[in-house]
Amino acid sequence: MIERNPRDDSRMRMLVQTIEAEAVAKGLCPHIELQQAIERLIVVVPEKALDVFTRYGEEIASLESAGRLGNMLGRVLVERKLYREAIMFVRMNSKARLLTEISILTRLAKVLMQGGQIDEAKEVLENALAIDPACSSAVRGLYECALKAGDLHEADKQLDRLPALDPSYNTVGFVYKERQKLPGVQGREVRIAVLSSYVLDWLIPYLDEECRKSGLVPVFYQAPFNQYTQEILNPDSELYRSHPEIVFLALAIEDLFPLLGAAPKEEELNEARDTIVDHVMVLVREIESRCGAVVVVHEFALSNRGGYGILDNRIPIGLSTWVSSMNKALVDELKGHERAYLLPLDSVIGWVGKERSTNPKLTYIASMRIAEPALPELAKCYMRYIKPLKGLTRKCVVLDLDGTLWGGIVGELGSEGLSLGPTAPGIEYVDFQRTLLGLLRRGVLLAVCSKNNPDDALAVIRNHPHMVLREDHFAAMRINWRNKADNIRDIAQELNIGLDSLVFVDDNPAERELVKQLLPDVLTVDLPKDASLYRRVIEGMTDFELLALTKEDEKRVAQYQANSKRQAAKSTSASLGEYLQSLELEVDIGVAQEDALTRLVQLFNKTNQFNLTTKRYQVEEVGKLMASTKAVVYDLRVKDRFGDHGLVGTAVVRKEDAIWRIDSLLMSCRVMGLGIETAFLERICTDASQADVRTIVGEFLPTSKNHPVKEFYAQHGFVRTKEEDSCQEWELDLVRSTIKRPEWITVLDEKVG
Amino acid sequence: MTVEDVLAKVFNLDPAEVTETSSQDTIPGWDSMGHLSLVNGLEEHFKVSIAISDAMQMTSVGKIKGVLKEYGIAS
Repeated sequence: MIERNPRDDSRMRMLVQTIEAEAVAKGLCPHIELQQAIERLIVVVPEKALDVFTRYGEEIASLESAGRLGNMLGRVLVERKLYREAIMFVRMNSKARLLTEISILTRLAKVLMQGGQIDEAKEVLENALAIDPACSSAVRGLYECALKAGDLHEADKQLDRLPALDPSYNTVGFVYKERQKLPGVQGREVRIAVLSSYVLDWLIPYLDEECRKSGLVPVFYQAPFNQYTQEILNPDSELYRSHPEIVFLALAIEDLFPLLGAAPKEEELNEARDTIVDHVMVLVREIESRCGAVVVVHEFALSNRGGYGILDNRIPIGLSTWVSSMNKALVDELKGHERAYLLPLDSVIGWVGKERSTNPKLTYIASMRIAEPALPELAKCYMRYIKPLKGLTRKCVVLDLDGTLWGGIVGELGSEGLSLGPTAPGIEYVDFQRTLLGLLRRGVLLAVCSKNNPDDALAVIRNHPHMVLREDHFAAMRINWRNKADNIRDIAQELNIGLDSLVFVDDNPAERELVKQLLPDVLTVDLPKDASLYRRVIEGMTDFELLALTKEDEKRVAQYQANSKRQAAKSTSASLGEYLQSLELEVDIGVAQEDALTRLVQLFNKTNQFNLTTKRYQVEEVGKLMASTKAVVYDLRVKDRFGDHGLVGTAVVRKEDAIWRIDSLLMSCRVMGLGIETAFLERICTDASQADVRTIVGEFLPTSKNHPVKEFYAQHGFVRTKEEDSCQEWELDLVRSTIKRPEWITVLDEKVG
Repeated sequence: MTVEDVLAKVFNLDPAEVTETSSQDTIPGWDSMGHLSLVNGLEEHFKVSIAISDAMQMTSVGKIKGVLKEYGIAS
């Protein structure tokens, strides 16, 4: 007889009897332990075992070896090709969790899929994911199901999930390869060229992944192995035919100077430095003269120890001194190049760890100098250049208070009870606030969005001795009990920036989820539970970079504070008219000069809302337009009694035979809604009249962002002449119509020919 | 994970399809780039560094296991 089981109730007795009956019927020796009996039953008649499992799932689950038995049954059903039974077992499993070995489930799913049972395969894979939500092979399976079912959208969605579950080259490379098969993925194109003196092919999948996470669809060009010099020097090369917007040049010092490892002598080092710096600069100049791409050169970094050991910095020139002097020489040379940058490779691989960043074997076998563990970090570093190039820089960080800027809940603990101060716990929040202050100094705005009693929270912000950030640092504050999505929308409106310029930082996962769902354009940061990691998370973000620091960036914070005062003025002025009068607006419109170039390019590439054609001109193109006699590039500067907005708008007018054509007209949204655009247009029309031009043509290319200017030309009396919706043309007859400048705006006069 | 599992993962196969005799000739994708991926994957998984000449010889599951054994790894 089967031995007694510790649990001895009526159902358990029924299970034992059933097993006994089965055992006797099959001629198996019944004098064994229950679990062993079930095992035998599984092996001999798995269908019957499934029946027992279905009837006595709960009892079997209470056995010590329940998991082993469940996995065994699953394995046997799949091995014996009893797929219908296997599916039944999986369905039962979604409650009882007896089958836990993922590989059995993925194997079953694969067979089902091959047999065309796609829905069943999906069900099995979902079951695997319920057991292990991080199971990347199940997601791969779901991807294949979607592909087989012809649902490309779903396939793409499954691919998107994979790299986060498994960031190894294996998975990321798989995703990259598969994505090439899926046509028509939505997004803005970015054309990237990667030239290197070593094999860097494994970087591409990581870079592809990073681009897609930001909504970009990259088109890559990679020069053939060790062909970078020819590619750059040959004007007809594939490099230039690929029309890159950005070129990364990754040259390894070991490739350019193989003697490096053998403790070279001073004169060898000096000579090599001059030759190498010259070589790099020739390449940079050549790329610049042949295309308008941004050029990013890897700085030189030592990947081995070498040199003279501890005396390396005592001898006239040691290896580390030599490498720094070479990078310094490159920095100096590149200063004269508006669009060329030196990428801080040493800090990228230092962050990952030098030892893990190179794999000598892969270097020897395949000339790979940067190993898998460093590639995600390097790809992120590339994004620091790509994002601002494509206008994806985020302008404002919206911060929660409790648990985010300080530890604890002020409403419960009071100001004194919070974790915030010079010792731990508390110092981690002070350090995080310092990091945020650093962002502010780079021109990124800060705002507060917190569920609190305003008085409690403001008391901390104003009076807590260890707050680093004070009221003045925040461009906007919403401290109330409304839902955060509404508050964030409000903040965007107050600051006059798009939701896609915002980053939301909150320690509460529920609030983050709400904002992710309701405001998908806002970048919601997944803060870790441990506040000591906050600083790293923010510093690891690649969304705050600018390709050039302009005076406007440095002034921005003051400008937004002045804006808050303007808003206050708005609420104290009785009417809009009085408010506008009270601003004492002063507008300076002129022909753009050389020194404005950087800022103009920034405006062309960043402005989304008040932008009639959204043409993303780069330095070279703007320079050409400025020099052309057939075009005028205007710039617009604005001041009011609260402060100087600086250069906030530009327009490109192309002079054709009898007409002037407004090719571009754009303005920072900070100064929208004040009538400045009318003054700007009036000035262009006046200049045209004085040049005896009768007709002005305005172009309007609608985008998803520029609906605020949809009616711009209509509002100023222009008549639509070209009906196409995607590329509209509007005309104004200058003889019959005029544009009236708003009387509250003073325009400084300057003639344009 | 076994050698078979690592292979299945690198070449996106069902582990049940990978056998002792699976080799460069029978597995699609096991080309020279695929081989680097595989060596890299095995090294990461078994925490070992395999000499170049040994890595070059690992052209089938059986041979991989043979090489790993020399490095003291039972697989």
